[in-house]
Amino acid sequence: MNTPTDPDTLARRRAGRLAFWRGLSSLIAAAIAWNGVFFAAGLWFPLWWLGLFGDFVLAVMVAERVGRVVPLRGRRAYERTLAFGFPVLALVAWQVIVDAGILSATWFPQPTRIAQALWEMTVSYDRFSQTSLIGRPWLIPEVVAQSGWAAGWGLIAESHVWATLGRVGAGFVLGAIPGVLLGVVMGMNKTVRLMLDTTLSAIYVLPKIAIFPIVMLMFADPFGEGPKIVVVALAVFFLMTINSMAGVRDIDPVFLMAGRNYGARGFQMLRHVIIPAALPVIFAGLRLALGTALIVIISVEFLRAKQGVGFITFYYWEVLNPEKMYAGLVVVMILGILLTYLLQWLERRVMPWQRD
Amino acid sequence: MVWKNGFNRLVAGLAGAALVAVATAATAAELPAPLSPPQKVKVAYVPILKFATVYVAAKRDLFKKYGLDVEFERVKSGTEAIAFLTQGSIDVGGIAIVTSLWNAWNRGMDIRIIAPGALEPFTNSPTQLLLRKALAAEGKVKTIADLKGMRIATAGGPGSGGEYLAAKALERAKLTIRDVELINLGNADMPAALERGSIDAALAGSPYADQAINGGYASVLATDLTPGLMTVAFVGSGKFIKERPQVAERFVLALAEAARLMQGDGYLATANIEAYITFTNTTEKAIREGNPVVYDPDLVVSFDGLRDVERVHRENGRLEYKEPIDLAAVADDQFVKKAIAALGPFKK
Repeated sequence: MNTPTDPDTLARRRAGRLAFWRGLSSLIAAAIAWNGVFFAAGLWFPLWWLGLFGDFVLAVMVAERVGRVVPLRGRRAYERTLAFGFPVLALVAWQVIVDAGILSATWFPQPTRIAQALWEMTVSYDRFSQTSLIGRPWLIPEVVAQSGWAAGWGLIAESHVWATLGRVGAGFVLGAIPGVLLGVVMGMNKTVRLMLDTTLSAIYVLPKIAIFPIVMLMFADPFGEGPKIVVVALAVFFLMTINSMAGVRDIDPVFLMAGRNYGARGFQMLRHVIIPAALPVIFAGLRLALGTALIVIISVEFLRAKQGVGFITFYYWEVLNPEKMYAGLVVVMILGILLTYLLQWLERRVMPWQRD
Repeated sequence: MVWKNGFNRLVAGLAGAALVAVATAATAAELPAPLSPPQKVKVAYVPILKFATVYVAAKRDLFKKYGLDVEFERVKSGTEAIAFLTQGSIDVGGIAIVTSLWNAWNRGMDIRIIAPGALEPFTNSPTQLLLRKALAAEGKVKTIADLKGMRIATAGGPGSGGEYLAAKALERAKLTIRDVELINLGNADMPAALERGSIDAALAGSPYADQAINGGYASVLATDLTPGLMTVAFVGSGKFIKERPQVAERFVLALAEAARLMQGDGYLATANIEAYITFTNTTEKAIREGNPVVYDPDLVVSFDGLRDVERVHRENGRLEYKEPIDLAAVADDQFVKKAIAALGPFKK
């Protein structure tokens, strides 16, 4: 690496560094002044949200300024710091605001208390409902060695998280596969599209929780797993059909022409041109559908389940244990992140050409 | 003779009017004066008939009579009302005495029962334990003890009033809610579930219990599970009770007067029915056909009943604590006592 020795360049750099530190110092001084004025005027209690908004704006300005001078090799670390630093800062602000008594600790418990509740839920077993949060996996080796695999499975079956994941997984697969297939057909065939498009668009907007009682009536055991899985599948199916259809219709005609010129017809065309070209849109739809599936199952579990993350979240609200209710919401968020990462991993495997 | 009779009637009428005037004056002398200017009271309530005293007091201007300007907010559950009460955004909540309330008290939340809502009827309770017809016909279930391992529907999930009633029914056969499979199902869905055989029994309320029985899907296995029990109450925020006791006193007084206007035939008085319909989602037909809801004209806060409700929820593992809590910290009957002292004990 060459170190510039030209005095003008060195002077420009020195001036740049000076301007950077001067700007940064002004912003830090502004932050101190802003918070100090709020504190001195006793505005934190009535206008805490405005105080935080001001701090957020100042934090964005600091990050922007720092971002301008971050070298290319440190760019990734800088972006990660922004992505993970902001939620950490938000949690710290939450903790401070509740500790200071600005927000009620009963209804907005501090993140540390929520973390503690989450830990309690994770390691404990409710002997009344015979359930646990994650199924006490640390006991599985011992239980399997003593009583066999059936007993080990019993531990998984007692888990709220696995109950929710099972419903989401089954509903997602049951809805996504036919949804993608029908969407592709509708994208390729105008007659089918004309026949189904309006109907699908009409049904798609129905809140799935509203049709859940009707879905229940279709099953011999309305309180079993069937209706819950089917309502998730329905939500995923309509979304995937519409999305896949759009993906196929948006394929660049050049790809189709190229495929035809190479002699591709029928199934070959579908496999080598249409599906690969529509896959990015289909995967974008799958990501949306996965989020929708999680929202739908959590809503269903709120009302009609005896097990599941949605059930415990609502249960702890109903029995007035807000820390554990928030812990349930945290579990939902963790599931959302993990499922999204899983889908992104699958996306990379299926579409290796799509790497950044 | 006619004149004489007329004169006698007139004298008797005047004497009667004078007596009523004296009696009224004597009673009115003990009643607190209306607040001026009128004081605002914010009430959150779950729109069910069990809080009808507050609807009648509003509709028949009893609150106005005592200088109260009552604002109503509907809530979906008692937990919501508890949140608003502790935040100070409402003064009084019409709340079912369920798990959330006990856990709130255990956490030291400053809210107190200031007056009872409706009581469970002593006889002919509208809530009945129904048994699926086929099970009764086949002789598989003859008593509550035979329900072991079966699927029972209750309105409300874990820790709800429905679960409490189920526990009380099962207690009769020395069973607990762990010995059966409880299903959370709305009252309206129970007849269909019984017809389809997807549940074995249900704790159904009126008019859905009658619908299932008349439709031939179910028969009554048990009724009058908790006669005379206070299952709902008016809960005041600590701030309201401490900072505005005169307002709270008049609020409870208006409730007591309303409860007295709802006794006997008065329950179906036109003005009362209007009040029920205004504040709940019921219909006049349903009110007239259903069993009357019971309101104690003396608004007695039953501490024994409270103790039992707490015990059952505690034994069901729904509460965060193990030992019974001090009931003096959960109910404050000073306003009820003042109201009854002002009105005198109710005479039939």
